[in-house]
Amino acid sequence: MNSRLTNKDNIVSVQDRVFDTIEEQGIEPRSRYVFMCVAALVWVLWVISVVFGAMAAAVLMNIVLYRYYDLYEIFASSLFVFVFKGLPLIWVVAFVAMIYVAMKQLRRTTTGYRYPTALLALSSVVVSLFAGLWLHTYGFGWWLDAKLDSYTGYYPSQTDHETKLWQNPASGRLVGRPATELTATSTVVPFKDMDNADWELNINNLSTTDRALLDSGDQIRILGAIDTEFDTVFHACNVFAWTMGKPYSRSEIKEKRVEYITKIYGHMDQYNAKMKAYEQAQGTNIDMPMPTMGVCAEMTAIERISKGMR
Amino acid sequence: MDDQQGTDEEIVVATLTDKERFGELMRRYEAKLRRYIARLGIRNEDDQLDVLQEIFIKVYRNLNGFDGRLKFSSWIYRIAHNEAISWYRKKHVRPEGHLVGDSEDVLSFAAGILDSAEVQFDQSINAEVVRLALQNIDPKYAQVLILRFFEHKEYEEISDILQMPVGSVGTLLHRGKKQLARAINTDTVRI
Repeated sequence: MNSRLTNKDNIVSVQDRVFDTIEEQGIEPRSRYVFMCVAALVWVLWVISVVFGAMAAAVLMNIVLYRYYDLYEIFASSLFVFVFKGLPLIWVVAFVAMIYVAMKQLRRTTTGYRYPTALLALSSVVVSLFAGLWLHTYGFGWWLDAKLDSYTGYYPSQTDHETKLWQNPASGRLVGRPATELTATSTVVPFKDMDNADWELNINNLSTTDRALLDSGDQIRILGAIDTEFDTVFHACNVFAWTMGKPYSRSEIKEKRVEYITKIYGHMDQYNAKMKAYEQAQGTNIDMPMPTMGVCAEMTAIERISKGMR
Repeated sequence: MDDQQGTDEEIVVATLTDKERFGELMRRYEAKLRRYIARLGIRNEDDQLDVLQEIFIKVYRNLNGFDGRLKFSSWIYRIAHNEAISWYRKKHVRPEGHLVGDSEDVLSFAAGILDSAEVQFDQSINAEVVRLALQNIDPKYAQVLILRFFEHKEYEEISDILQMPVGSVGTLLHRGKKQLARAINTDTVRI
């Protein structure tokens, strides 16, 4: 029996209208494959957004983990400020945007709306972070950062960023390589920095290990000061290896910090020792000229590196 | 064939091979959905029929998209809800006041409010008072209150109909009750 003829007036009317429309317009239920494709598309978009989120996370991890923490005090008042200031906004925004898209896709799944927004966001964050960590362990973050830099003219890689921080002669920092080999008696060495500027590097104040590092021919970082009389002369006080991209464990970074800070304060220690000798000489009426601080001790005194770190 | 037999879900499957069975689904839900869209504020009878027709055509067109993990009633209420909302948007009109049900519905509604809002209703409370109050509160609260107290839906069903987390349903109900208690004319409430 046709159910259309068994109901009350208005119900018959609605049923008739619906059936008439279905027949007139030839409406058929959409294929189940359409719905399967839509459901699959939602998950595909989720996977894509999570993968892009993971890529952003991998680059962020690379940047956060492999910065020059060894002497961060030179650039920031605290470790937090150093980390925060160094976070590349573009990758933070990319990560947040991908998490947002992933969360929206999860909500669009058949039962995704049942879960709280925070849980959906958190699950996407966790998946992206773990996938990002996995990518990071294979060096993907470093690779992507470097490739974007080489393929686009405007993207600054982490290496560029660190170079920019360290290549600042007016603030007493240089990055580059010596232009010639050192001899045992060298006191001035020609040096080319990252901006292709030529310097006469005064190495009188360098320790034996620093001279060896300079002589290696590798790219190096230098702390020092421009000569007050000749602006192409740079007084090198300390030399540090350029280690961008080389992974260090926390304990290695800690060891390097101790080594570097000891090295920097070596100039101050030398000055203090001279001052002590001078004071003792004053007590015994021995005629002795008062020692001057010198470029390197002065530099040490004005650097932010806390004495408490020693 | 006795078309009264079978669950909604079974009829959905049967409709895919025999479209006449769709009549049974319409028969089961027409009155309920008509009342529901009226409660959402579509008061004109012709408008109700138009919206109802659109709802059933949409249901028919999307039968293969029905997911067995949901209750069919939740799915069809969701379509009805969305269709009512899009009808307002298309017509650029606001709900013409929520149609509240019989005295039994109003009493059960009042009892629900009474529990949480700590107000005691007079015997004088009636459908008109509730209708006006529902009209004056935030629509997101009104929708949840209507589904809970007039359509007698469980939290999970409301969650499926409005596509929001179950926890949010609880929160909206709680806040909606409070807002409604404030909206009800103070003459009818003895605190």
